[in-house]
Amino acid sequence: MRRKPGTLLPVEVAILAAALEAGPGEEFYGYAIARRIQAGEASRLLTAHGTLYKALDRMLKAGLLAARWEDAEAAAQEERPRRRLYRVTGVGEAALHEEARRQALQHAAGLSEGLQPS
Amino acid sequence: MNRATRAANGFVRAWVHGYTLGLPDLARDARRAEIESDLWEHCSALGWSARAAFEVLMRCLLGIPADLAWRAEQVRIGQHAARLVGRVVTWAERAADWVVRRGLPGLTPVSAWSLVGLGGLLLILAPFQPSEPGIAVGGGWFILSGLAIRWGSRLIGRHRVRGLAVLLAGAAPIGLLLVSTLLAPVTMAAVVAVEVRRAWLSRRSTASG
Repeated sequence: MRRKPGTLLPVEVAILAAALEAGPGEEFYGYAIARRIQAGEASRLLTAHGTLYKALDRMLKAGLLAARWEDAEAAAQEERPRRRLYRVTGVGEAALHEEARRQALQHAAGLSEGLQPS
Repeated sequence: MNRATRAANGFVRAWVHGYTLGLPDLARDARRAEIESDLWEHCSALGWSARAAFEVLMRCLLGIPADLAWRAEQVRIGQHAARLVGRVVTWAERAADWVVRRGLPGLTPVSAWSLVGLGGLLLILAPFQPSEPGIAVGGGWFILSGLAIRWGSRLIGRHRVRGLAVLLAGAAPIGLLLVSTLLAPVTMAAVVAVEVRRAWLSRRSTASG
């Protein structure tokens, strides 16, 4: 999807917002964030695999997120596959605030246009 | 794990394996491991139920366009890497071509006299190491190889087969027996290639003249 530089896609906003809800610097993994987004948006289905992991990959490359693979031993102890743990970076946090500010301005502009006498 | 979740997970795994096939190892393995983890978390959270199977399947199907777009991005990255490797290979080919055309002047005599010198040094040191008779044998062998290379490189211009045989008799055992050093086989191969090339060029210029 093409977009203006410096803006975030809706799925990216949802990921950042859901991740920061748990607290800045908190780590999360793919399924957990999909679950949080689902709860936040009250949708019936979780974010699709392709949409979610493509967005996470893109956000990593953009520096909005940082990632590391969980310690193999910790996963083995719980008898499950290793998680890839993400956390929102300072850049990601700033991008979300900027996006919120931009959307608020757009909303205000829309409102003032509607209030103008015809 | 019930049959439905097993089937749904199997379908997702097959799909992920399919669209990550042929991608760079890092991207491929990361995506496969990440989806594997997601499948486990999802099914485990819903108790490996039929609902879990349905959701897993739907998440996979709805994400197919994004999966394909992601793959296209990775392939583009792979093409950049391939172009870079291609450029390096081209430069290496040009360098090799230059070396062969110039004939690496001095390579053969320097290699030959180095072997003779090294052999002489080993012969001098041999009496000080009487428990190591191999040093003297190695010294003699290095000297003979060096002389064979020097003689073969001179002979090859006039008698191609005989010259090549003498050259190989000097260079091949050094290259093969000291293969682990890497430097010896590479140098010896370069010496033989340069001398053969030189003999072939001089023969061609004689024939055309």
